[in-house]
Formats: sequence, C-alpha cells, structure tokens
Amino acid sequence: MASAIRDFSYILVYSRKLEDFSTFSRIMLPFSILISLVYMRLIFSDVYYDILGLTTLLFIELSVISYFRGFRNTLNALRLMAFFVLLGTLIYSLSHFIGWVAPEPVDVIDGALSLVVMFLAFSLLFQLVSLKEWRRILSILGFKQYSVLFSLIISQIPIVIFYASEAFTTIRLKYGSRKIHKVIVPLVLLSLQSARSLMESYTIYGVSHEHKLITYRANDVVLYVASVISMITPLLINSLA
Amino acid sequence: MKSNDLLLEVRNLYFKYPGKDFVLRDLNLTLEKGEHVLIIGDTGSGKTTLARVLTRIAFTVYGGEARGVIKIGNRNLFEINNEELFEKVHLIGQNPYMYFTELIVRDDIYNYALRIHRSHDKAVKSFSKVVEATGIHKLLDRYFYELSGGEARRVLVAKALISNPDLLIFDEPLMWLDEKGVEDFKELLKLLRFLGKGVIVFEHRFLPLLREVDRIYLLRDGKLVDVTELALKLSRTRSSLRNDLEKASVVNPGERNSNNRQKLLEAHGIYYSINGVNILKNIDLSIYENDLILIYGLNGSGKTTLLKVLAGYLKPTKGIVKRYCDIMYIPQNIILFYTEDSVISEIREICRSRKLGENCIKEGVKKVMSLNIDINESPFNLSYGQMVKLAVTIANLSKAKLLLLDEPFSGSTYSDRAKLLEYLRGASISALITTSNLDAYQGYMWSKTYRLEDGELSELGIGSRDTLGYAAWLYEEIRNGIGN
Repeated sequence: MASAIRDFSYILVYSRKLEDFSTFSRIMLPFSILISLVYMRLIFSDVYYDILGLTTLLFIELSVISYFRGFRNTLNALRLMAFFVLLGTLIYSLSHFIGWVAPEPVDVIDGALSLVVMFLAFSLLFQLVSLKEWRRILSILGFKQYSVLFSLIISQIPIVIFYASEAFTTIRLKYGSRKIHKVIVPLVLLSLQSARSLMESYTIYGVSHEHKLITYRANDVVLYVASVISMITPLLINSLA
Repeated sequence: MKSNDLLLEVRNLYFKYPGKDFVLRDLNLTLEKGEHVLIIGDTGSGKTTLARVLTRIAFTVYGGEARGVIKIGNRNLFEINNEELFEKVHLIGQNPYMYFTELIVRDDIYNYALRIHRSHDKAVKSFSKVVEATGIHKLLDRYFYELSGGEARRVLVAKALISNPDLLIFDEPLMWLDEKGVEDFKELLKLLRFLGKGVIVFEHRFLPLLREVDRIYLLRDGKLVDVTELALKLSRTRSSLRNDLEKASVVNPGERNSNNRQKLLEAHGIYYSINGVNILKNIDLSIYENDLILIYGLNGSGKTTLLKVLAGYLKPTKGIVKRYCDIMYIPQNIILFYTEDSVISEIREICRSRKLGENCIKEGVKKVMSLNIDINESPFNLSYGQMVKLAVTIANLSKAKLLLLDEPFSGSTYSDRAKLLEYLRGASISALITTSNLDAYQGYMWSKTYRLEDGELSELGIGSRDTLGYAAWLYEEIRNGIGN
C-alpha cells in the first residue's frame, strides 16, 4: 500500500527533460489525447474499435512517459492500469454474484482502458509542464493568486505522500488494519503544520511569475506528430469501420 | 563596538502567541557583523519562537504580539518591508523540505534569483556564484525530495545567499543529520564566516558546534544567558569524565546472555530491492527479550526500510523474517503515532483495541502520570521528548513486546535522550532503535550495536567518542551553573 501510494505520487512530478521541447508542444499532446478521447466516445459505437483507438492512445502516452520520466514511471503507469482492470473485474464478478446485470468482459476492458488513458493524459499535464510554467500560464489567464497556491501544493505532494506511507505503517501496527481509518487524524494535523511551514516559506522566498515560456525547440516536431496521431487515430479507425 | 558594526540588536523583548503566556521575557541579544552565535535550551524553551520573531514570521504567520526593541542593522524590524527584510535575514527552518517551491533544485534556486534580481542575466550570474560558493553542482538536477537532510540544508543556504543576506538563522540544523551531514554543516559555517555572514544557530545537539561559534547562549525562562565561558570550561573536562561515566553504569554482563531469554524476532538473509536496486543485502538479525539494539547508519542507508521489513509492513525480496511477538513501530515524525484528542483517549483506545480491559486503562493512567504527563492534555501539545516517552508507554501497555523506534532522539536535548534510554532500560522494554548520529553514544546501554552501510549490517566499532552520559551531564551542568 505504502509503496503504491509513493509510486503513484511520482506520476504527478514533472520531468527533468522539459527544456528539450517547447511549452506549447508539451501542453498540446495531453490536450490532443483528451480531445480524442471525448471524440471517440461520440463517434464509436463498436467497442472493439474503441479498444483499438484507446490502445493507440495508451501506446503514445506510455512512450512519452518512458522518454520523459524513464522506465520506472512507465511501470507505475502500467500498475495503475492493472489496478483499474482489477477494479473492473471485481465489479464484473460481484455483479454476477449479487444478481445485477453484469457488463460484458469486453466492456470492462474498454471502461478500464478509457479510465487509464484519461488519467494518464491528465498526469501528462503535470509530468510535461513545470510548476514555473503553470504559474506563468495561470498568471496570463488571470489566476495569479491561485497559481501560487497551486504550485505550493504540487511541490509538496511527494513529501506528503512519504508521510502518508509512514502513517499507514504506524497505525496499522498500532491498531491493526481494521482501524486504519484513524490515520486521517495525524495526517490532517501534519497537513496543517505543513501548511503553516509553507506559509513561512512563501513569506520568505515568495514565488516568481517572471518565467518565460519556451516557444520553439527543434525537437517539437516529435510531440506535434504524436499529437496529430492522437487526433487522427479515431478518424482513421472510424473510416475502417 | 561601533554602532554600524551591529547587525542585530534585541532589547527587553517580550513575545507571546495569541491567547498564550509570554514565551520570551525581557530577552536581550546583540550580534556583530560576521559573528556566529549558538543558542541552546530545553525543548519548548522558545528557540524556534525567537527564530520566528527575528524574521517577523511570528507576527505575520502566527499572529503573535511583542514589546521591546528589535533592530536589524540600525533599523527597527517593523519598519523594514518584507522584501528588504528577507534580503538581509534568512531563516532555514527545522524541516528543510518545506522551503522548496519548485521540485527540481536548479529551478528552485533560479526562480528565487529571478524574483530577487528581476532579470534573467542577473539571476543567472548570482545563481552561478552561489552554486560555486556552496559546491552544490551535483545536486542541481535532483528533485528536492531526493536530497538527504544535509544536502537539502546546503541547497537552502545557497538559495539564501542569492540575496546576499547579512544574517542567517538556522533552527536545529543538525536534526536528522548523520555524521557526514554534521561535518558538512561545520564546513558550511566556515564558508559563511569566510563570506562575513552573521549566523545564529538554535540547536539541541550542540556538542559538535561548541568550538565552531563565537558565543554560546542558554535560552531559559524566556531569557538568554551567555554561557560561553562555562560551556567551554566544562567541555575541557571531557577525557577524564568520559571514562568515569562509562564505568559508573556498567550493566551486569549476565543480563545480556541470550540463552535464558525468549527470542522475539529473527531475520535471515534479508534482501529488499526497489526497481532492481538492493536497499538491504543479506541481513541477519536476532532480537531477544530485554534487548536494546542500536542500528547506526547515514541518511538514506536503509534504516527505515529495515524497520518496516522487520515489522512485516514491507515484504522482503528474499529471506525470512520470523516474528514471535507483537511489534509496534514508532516513527521519526512522532505526530504520526497519535490519533486521539487526549492522552486518556489514547490509553483507552489502545487497551480496547487489544481487548485488555479496565485494568489496562488503570495501569496506563498510572504509568503516564508517573511521567508527569497530564492525561487530559492533547498528545499533540506535548514536547517532543514527552511524545516519544508516551508512545513507548502506550506501546508497552499494548503488550507489544518489541518496539521499533526510528530516530527517536532527533529534536531532543541530550538530557532527554539519556532519560529516554534509561526509561527503556528501566521498564525492561525490548527495542530496536535506529540513529544517524553517534555524537552522544551510550555504549553500556546497548545489548548490541550495528552499522547499516550500503544495505549491509555489520557490528559497529565505536572507538573513542563522547558519550551520551557526558553530553547530558554537560548540558545539565550548564543549566545548573546558571541556576545556582
């Protein structure tokens, strides 16, 4: 549980290789995938074509994660996928057991894949865009104050997750798994303490909104091609149908 | 002393948090440019509060009230605007990880430089300068949460130097630092002296710093008392005293004979790996009833991982752990241990969860009261030392026979550490304790001592070093010397 939570947090951490690509190309890819996902929901009636489209999008996402964040994060993404598939299987089995109308196995796979693709597309927005870029973008959009809050929260996620893992170990050994919900109390208190420390940090160091967004890099073409493939995939598959 | 040499002047300072009594009472302190000062004191004596007052955070973030005079340079603290203040004074707090606003070290420092200088060229120039001065090149492309405590503090010093401040304040900089981290911090102080920066260090673990500073103060009853001469004089007695203190408390060797005692845990050939990297390698360990076992290792050596594997929370990649009793884990961040709103509720909850009945509650109340802890108090309001002792008592009450304590000495005075060890020994508690520092080592207390290095466990050779008994004695003498 603890290591799963920790690994999950790494999905929200931005890459060290961002400077190889422009900000625009990095933002464009996850948005293309999300638009494509919505589009597929609208045009596909055949579940098998849907799975084909989703697999293409998943392949693009995993390739991008592998390049930017390395093998470990790709594994984390696959673990996440396994989790959703497991969840789907569980719902499927339970439905049979309690007499509800069970979904077809292929629908379970389709649903799980959709969730994974959507979640990874959102996570790419964090993995491919740095906090300073988010602050700049949100400032441009007129959300300067919220951009500070957003960036302070995101910057502390890995540390908070580490404490959560510690708390789970402690409370499980103290009270056993049945009272694991008690972990909420120390975590809330720790969050309050952390919030005050963050306030101290913000008072002392502040945050800069001066960062300039990167408008062009030669490598951009790779991400643009990936974005275009994401966008035209549903159209191509639809034409096959 | 010329008045323009004065970096900080505090006169007749009184301070209190909203709705509380005064923490600082008639406190006076002056600091010349480039002077290094160490402030020691009990847990809860007001060290962190003073650090917050000097950076005005006690007012802006905590809403405190003060009277008296605080001058930075020749200017009243309250007449300086925020930006100007934090260009002159920097606070590096207890938990360095909370002072990062970016995930990657390079971004964090560069963004602060950009905020201060408001020009890319100037920011890059000052960035390069501080990176060079503090030697953090290798840390620049790391995520801040991957840094050890010592590395994180070094990065924060680099960040603080961006604005070329006159004064740096460190609140418990040695907390969580291993011996290498302590040496790094001492080097850092030398660098800051070379750069002519004023430094105030608030620290419990003062032994390694005694000779690194110009003046030493004790914070007691809200006041600062200059103890430089006394502390240095007392510390010279160390060599003769060390032996006496060791001899005075030798445990009967018969007690350590494992033949007559119940085995609580054994681990054979333990390996634990993350993504193919071995964090633990071929660990063999046996723990018997009444054992107090110390495992020393640098930050990141795998101590916490080992405790979690032994506790059964992490499954070893290879090897076997056999547990013959209930185990309880007390984490480094002690807040995570508590779940109830009062000490009495903690006692009730642990007794009920283990179905131990009313007698358990009565026994718990008695034990806790003997520690001078109010049973109606919230556990979260106790001092760090009290929180650790209460956790040990609760664990003992639960009939858990083996306690795993992760760095229980961080944030405690030497006296509190010694008292905790004596408490464990006196209550015949079996425990495995990890630590990353040996600057106050109590050899005779331990049944066995190990070193965890590169994932491997080996017997620890201590050699000649200051003992915890000596450090606690020194601290008490300083306190009593002032009191008498």
